[in-house]
Amino acid sequence: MAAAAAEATTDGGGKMIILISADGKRFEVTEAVASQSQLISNMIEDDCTENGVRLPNVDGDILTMVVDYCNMHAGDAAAAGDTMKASSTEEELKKFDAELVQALENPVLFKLILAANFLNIKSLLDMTCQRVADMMSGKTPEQMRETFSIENDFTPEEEAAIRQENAWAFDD
Amino acid sequence: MDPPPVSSPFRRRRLGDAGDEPSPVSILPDDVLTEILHILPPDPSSLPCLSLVCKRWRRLVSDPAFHRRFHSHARRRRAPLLGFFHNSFNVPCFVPTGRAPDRVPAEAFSLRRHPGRWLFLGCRGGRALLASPFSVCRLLMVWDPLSGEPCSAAPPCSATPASATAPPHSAWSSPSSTSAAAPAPASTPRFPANGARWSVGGR
Repeated sequence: MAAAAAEATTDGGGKMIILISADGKRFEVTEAVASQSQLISNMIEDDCTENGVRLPNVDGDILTMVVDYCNMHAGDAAAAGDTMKASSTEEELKKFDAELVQALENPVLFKLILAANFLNIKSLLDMTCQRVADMMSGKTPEQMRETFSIENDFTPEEEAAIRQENAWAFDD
Repeated sequence: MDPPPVSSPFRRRRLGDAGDEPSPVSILPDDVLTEILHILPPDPSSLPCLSLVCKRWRRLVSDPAFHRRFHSHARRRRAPLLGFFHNSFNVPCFVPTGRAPDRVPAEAFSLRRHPGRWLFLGCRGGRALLASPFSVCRLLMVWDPLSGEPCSAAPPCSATPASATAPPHSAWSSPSSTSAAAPAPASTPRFPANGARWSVGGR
C-alpha cells in the first residue's frame, strides 16, 4: 500500500509520502509538505521514502500536529516557485501558529519540541522553543519549578549559598 | 524504512533528570533546553534565577560557552540599561538604574582592583574607556566592567604633539561631569551560577 501510495501523485504532480508514527498511524502527505522536515527532505533526495518513513520516536497525536503545521506552511514554502500552492495567507499562518502554541499544554508542548527537533523542522522548533522561553520569562525560580513541575534537588544549604552569590537578583 | 542518522538543529544528548514524576522539561536533551535558555531576555536577573531552579539548569547556565552565546545573542536584542558611571570620587562610580530584581548593585562595577584615580571617558560595546590623568604616565585603560579586568592598557597618544602638551582634563573632557551609560547588552552582565567572578565572553 505504501509503495502504491508513493507512486501516487497529487493534482499538481507531486509524489506522495507515507509517514508512520511510533504507534503505527499512517499519514499520507505530499512531498512539498514532508520536505519541510529537513530529515525527510534528505531522505527524498536519497530516494529512501518508497516504503514509507517510520518515525519511531514520534507518537501519532504529535505527528498529527506536525502534519497540520506542515500542511499549513507548505503553501508558504512553495509560494516562491508555485503560486498555485500559496493557499494560506501570511495572516492566516500567523493566526494558525499563534493558536497552535497557545493551546499547547506542558507535556504536549515538550513532545512537539522533541518531534520538531528530530524531524528538523526549524520554524516549528523555533516557535515552540520561544513559547517555552516566554513561559519562563519573568518568573522566580520557585515559579519556574511550579510551572514545569521541576523538583528542587538542591539542599537547603546549597540553595542558600546560591542565593547569597547574587542576592540582589532575588529581591522582590 | 527507518530514517538515517541525521544532523538535527541541535545535537542530541542523554537526559539527566530523575524523579518520581519527571518534569516535562526533563524529556528535552541538554542541547535543546540550552537553546531555549539562550533566547530568554537578557535581564540581569535571568541567569541567577535560572541557576537556582535545579542542578541541571545550573550546570547548563554555568557553562562558559553558554555565556558567550547568551551574550552574543543578547547583543542583537534590546539593551537593558544597567546604570551609569560618573566621575565623582566621593560616591561609588556606578549608579544602578534598574529596578528589582534587575538592579545591579554599585559594588558589582567597582574599580577597587585598579588603585588610583580613574576618569570615565565613555562606554562603547560593553567596554569603558578610563583615563588616569593624575598619574605620571597618564594611562588610558579599556575596562570590562563585567569582569573587572582591563581589556587592554595602552599608553596615551603621546606621539601626537597636541595630546602630549594638552592638559589632561581638556584632552579628555570634563572629569567631573563625564557620565556614560552602562553598557548593554554587549555587556549584559553574566552572573555565573557557580559564584565565580563575572566572566567575560565573546572576545
